[in-house]
Amino acid sequence: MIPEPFEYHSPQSLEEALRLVTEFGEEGKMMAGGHSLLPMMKLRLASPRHVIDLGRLSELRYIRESDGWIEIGALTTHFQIESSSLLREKCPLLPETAREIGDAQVRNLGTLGGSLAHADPAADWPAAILALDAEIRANSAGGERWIAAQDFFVGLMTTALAPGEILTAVRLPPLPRRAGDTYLKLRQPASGFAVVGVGVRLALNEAAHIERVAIGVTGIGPKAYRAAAVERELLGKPPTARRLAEAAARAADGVQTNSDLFASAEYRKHLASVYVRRALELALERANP
Amino acid sequence: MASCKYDWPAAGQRDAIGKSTDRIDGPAKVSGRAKYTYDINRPGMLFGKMLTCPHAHAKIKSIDVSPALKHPGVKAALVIQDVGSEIQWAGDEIAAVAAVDEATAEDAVRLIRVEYDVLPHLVREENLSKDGDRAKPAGEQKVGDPDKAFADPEAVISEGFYGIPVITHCCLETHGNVVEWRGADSILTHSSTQNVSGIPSQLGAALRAKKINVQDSNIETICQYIGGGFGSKFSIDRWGVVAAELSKQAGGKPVKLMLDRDEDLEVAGARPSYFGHVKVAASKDGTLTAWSSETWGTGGPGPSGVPPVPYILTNIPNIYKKHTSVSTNIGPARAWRAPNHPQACLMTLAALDDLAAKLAMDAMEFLQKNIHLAPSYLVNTYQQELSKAAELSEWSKYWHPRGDKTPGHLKRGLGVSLHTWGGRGHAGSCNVIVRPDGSVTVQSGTQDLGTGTRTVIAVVAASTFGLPVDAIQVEIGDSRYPFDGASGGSTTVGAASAWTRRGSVDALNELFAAVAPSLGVQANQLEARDGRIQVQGNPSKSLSWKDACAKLGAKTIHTVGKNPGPCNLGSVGVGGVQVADVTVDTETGKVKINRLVAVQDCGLIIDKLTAESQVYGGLIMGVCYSLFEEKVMDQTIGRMLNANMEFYKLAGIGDIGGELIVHMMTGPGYDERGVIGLGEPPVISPGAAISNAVANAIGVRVSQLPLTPRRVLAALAKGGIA
Repeated sequence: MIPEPFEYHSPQSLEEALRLVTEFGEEGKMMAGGHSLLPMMKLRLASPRHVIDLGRLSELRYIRESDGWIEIGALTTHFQIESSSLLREKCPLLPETAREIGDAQVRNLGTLGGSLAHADPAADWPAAILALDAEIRANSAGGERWIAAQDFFVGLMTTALAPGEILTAVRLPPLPRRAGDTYLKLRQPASGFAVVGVGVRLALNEAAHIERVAIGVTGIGPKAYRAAAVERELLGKPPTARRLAEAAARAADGVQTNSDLFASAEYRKHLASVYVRRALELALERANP
Repeated sequence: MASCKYDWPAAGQRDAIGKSTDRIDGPAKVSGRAKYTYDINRPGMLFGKMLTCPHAHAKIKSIDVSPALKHPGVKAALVIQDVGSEIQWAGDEIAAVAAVDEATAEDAVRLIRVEYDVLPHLVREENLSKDGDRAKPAGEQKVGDPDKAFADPEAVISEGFYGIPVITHCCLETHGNVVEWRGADSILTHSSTQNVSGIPSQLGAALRAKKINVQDSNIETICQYIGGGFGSKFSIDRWGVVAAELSKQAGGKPVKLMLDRDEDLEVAGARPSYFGHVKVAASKDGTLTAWSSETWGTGGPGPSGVPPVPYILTNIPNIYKKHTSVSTNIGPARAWRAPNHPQACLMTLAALDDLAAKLAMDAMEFLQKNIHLAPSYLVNTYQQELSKAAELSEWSKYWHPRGDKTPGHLKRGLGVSLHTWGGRGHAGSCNVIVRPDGSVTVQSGTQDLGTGTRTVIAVVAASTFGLPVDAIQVEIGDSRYPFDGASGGSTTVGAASAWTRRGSVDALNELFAAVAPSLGVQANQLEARDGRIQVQGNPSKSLSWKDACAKLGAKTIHTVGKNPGPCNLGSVGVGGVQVADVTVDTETGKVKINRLVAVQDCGLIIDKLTAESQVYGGLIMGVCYSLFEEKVMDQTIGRMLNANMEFYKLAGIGDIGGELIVHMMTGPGYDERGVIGLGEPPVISPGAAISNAVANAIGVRVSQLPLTPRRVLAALAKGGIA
């Protein structure tokens, strides 16, 4: 339970942080809230020589609306998202997701950016931002770029971030008219991580058919994913209960499913269908005026 | 009026007895001032670590600890089990080191070289046909003519398979000790133990067997606070003896050797499993006529216990039962809160519930109809408790025939169970000291396993002396104090209340004798009330407690209270009834507790608050083994797969979900029985009550605990209402 010795750095600006990240390369590890990195270091699953604590970069702690986007700084805590009145009004899915993370202590320290960059296969945020068609900003010495959520999660704890890049913000479109969103989750009873977590955003057209639907799923496979097979079944169709159920049955199609002592692969697939259907039903209920 | 001098006071004159008193050590516990063995750090202390066996069954071929001994920072190393020893479970202790810090000790343990001859093992026993010669007959019994009863064409017969797997104790404080030598012939241990007075003689005998000479009377054991034992901490254990040997080798320096969480889960406690086929018969009106069971279970390498079935309804006229004990390599069994009872309770009450369903009878009515088959002294208690439980659970409102027919995936159901336990106070003793300055101290080598021992002692002494509870100084948890029995079998409150009462009455009579002349009456005309010693019925002729004690002059009153002793202060045999109200999600298989109702008898209650807390604790621990706990063994590698708290799940308060409703049976018919222990009974029924509630909700029996989503969905796939 004691980590290997390491050097601690606390940059005061993004510029300084970028310099340290470049300088230490493979030997450095960025820390935001520390809720994933520190336990891994204590278990000696991670042994970085240099820990670069981004916690002082308060300019990365914000939730704001601009140019038709909602933008959230990477160091914004789960609790700040959970309690944001802006988000409750314009993107209820995010506070709903935040509320499901860990416990109050975790939510007070853990951050959106830290969780996304860590890309734990059972974390909640990846499913949420996939469902929102969000974009993720990466800064490097050379400038910045936006990465679509769909392209961000590459594999087990692996993201599209390049060496030398720091995840600095997430932006997403607010809830359109005649749309609803939600996040539903079955918690692992001890750890609180998602056995399955499903984020859904669904919009109806004037004919009350499904105009757009995005479904993010976490906890099932090596990385969070969009349930594209389900979405295809629903697009442009009237959302009858039967159609939702039939489509949801394809929630884990083609996914290499995790298995552990609590939940077998078969049970996880089953849960994915149940939770996708329930999330669709709830989002639909909210979309109907 | 009391007919025997130590008798409990009559109702209305009991002062704090029977009322709710906050635990006197509550503030120390919640503020962190209470020090548990794990918190003990002694000057110059070394850290002990053990090398354990990775195989479930093996013989030691060679062992070499010398590389560990040469490692910098290592102060002692020894072989625990030498060449030729046959190891019966993975995690068994092979060798140990003591070093200047934990990390060094861990590194040093890795340097020890051991070669094993690996032998075949068995760690999964639930399929009896695969257990081979590991399965040994463990008793067969016949009463009446069960064959004839089952052959009766009028009989309604229900058959089922039920099971409850091995679980571990998972004490929040792991097992262990801090042991040091005080000179060449004296030892001090800080031990996480439920047996303070018993540890010195265990350690002394173990060391003398290893030619280390020490007298029991020169060993002192201290345990002020313990983080759970549940029956798994009666012994000094091999690691305690090892700590003493390591300390000796290191010149007497204190050695802290506490198990890690994974070690604790693997080796420091297993509750025997119990599986079986049960057949029960009743006449068409619901009167039970016959029981037949073929059961098996494992308690590790030794014999498993034999759960008492049929449970409670022991007077069923025709009974056949046969038990088989399976010897396995899962680790050694230890007593677990109410040994054998939760298993017997599930097997019996689930089978009876299935029979009631087959008879299309209300489960509560079925039990009322057959409760005359319980031991006669409990029949009245159960009748009253069943009625009370029905009332508190609103049984008639929420109970329905099997299978909740309301639409949707959420199904609600109710289940009932009942249980019994002994709980007579054990043998033990205390000092009661009343000083001329008015201070009062009660000392005993007992312990507080969580039942509120300190508070019980203070309440009894205070109520005897007519003083407030906080006027009593209680000193326990040190083997230098008068001997008291181990806290096992729900015997502590019965013992502590009785020896405190006897010692306090004797001390008070001595005080009366000292005070009587100055009040101009005989000692037997005095009474202690409201902080005064007064002439009976005449408060105007009195002295304050302090002034009365001043009459002792230079003399300190010192009495010894004992149990057993004169007058009946306690009894044995309690009854309890519990109802579970659950909702099952038939899509996810998740079981949610809505309410648990516990109606419990324990004779005369000393502290209502700690008594109720025992019941709450029992219910919560019951939810743990009903929904979550299982020691998952892998037959291929022979090891426990979930020796951690992520996959060995205990219920957090959020997992309890619903409301816990506790009702203690008190007053006439209960109080006059005296004090009876309560630590174990409330944990017996939850398994059966929750299992029955799930069956009532979903219309099909989930045959094994814990009721995990996987098992619930598997049962639903075979039938049920969904």
